[in-house]
Amino acid sequence: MNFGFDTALLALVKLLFVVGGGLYFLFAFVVIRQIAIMKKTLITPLEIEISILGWLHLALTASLFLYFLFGL
Amino acid sequence: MPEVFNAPKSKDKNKFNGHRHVDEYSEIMSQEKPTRNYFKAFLPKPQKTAFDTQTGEENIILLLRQHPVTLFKQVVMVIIAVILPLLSSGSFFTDFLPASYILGLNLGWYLLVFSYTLATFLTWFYSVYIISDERIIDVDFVSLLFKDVSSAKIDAIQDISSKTSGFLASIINYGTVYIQTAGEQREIQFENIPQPAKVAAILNELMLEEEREKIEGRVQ
Repeated sequence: MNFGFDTALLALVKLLFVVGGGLYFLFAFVVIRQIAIMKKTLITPLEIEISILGWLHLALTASLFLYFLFGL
Repeated sequence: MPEVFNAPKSKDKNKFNGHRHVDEYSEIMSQEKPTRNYFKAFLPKPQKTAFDTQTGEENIILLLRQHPVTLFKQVVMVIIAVILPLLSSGSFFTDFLPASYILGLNLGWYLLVFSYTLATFLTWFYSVYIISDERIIDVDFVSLLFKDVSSAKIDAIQDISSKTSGFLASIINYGTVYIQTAGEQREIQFENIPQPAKVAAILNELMLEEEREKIEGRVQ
């Protein structure tokens, strides 16, 4: 009985993690888009470095989402 | 050979469609060296830098950002956020959740901290105040999702004042420059910028040059 309740609770927590991770992954895409707008507004020689930061952020959120999906 | 075929003299070399180079009329800017450090908050004559609405003859004279000290609160928040999971390692979550979930929570937390740091940096880096030889431009990224750009022509500026308030602002020399304009945007503020008095003086020199251009008929 207790075992069933714990399993259901963990499944619910996992669902929350996955939904949160998915939304976070979408937010990372918004960041990429916003970086593109920012780079267009002010053009500097640091464009590549700033783009790399955005893509790194996207890769990390994707990794976290996959961990939530398959690692839990 | 007639005079008309002679190459332009050195003083005319810096004239762009009736505009003189800023070093010719601005005593302050002539003492400033062009900068290549793009992380500074005070960038005189920035090289390899442009903005989206810049016209062909327009030159950036000064690019400004909020003084880095204004990011102090955010830096403290990030430091606290980084050490918080270490302090709460024995929290009730560890009794309730399996190790893989705790790891996921910690990874998520640190990624959130990274996101916040990135958003804060991008907002600071791209929220700039640009003074060109034609206009002043205020680019505000209030957050990652909100952009506000306002500009005014130099000859539309009516009044300039600068204000430094507070102990820290006086010590570090940063403050706000208020620019009253005759345009649709009645006031443009350059908030928390370094050396506000110097910026106000540069704007005054630009206004004088605009007047001179009108008098001498160098206006297009």
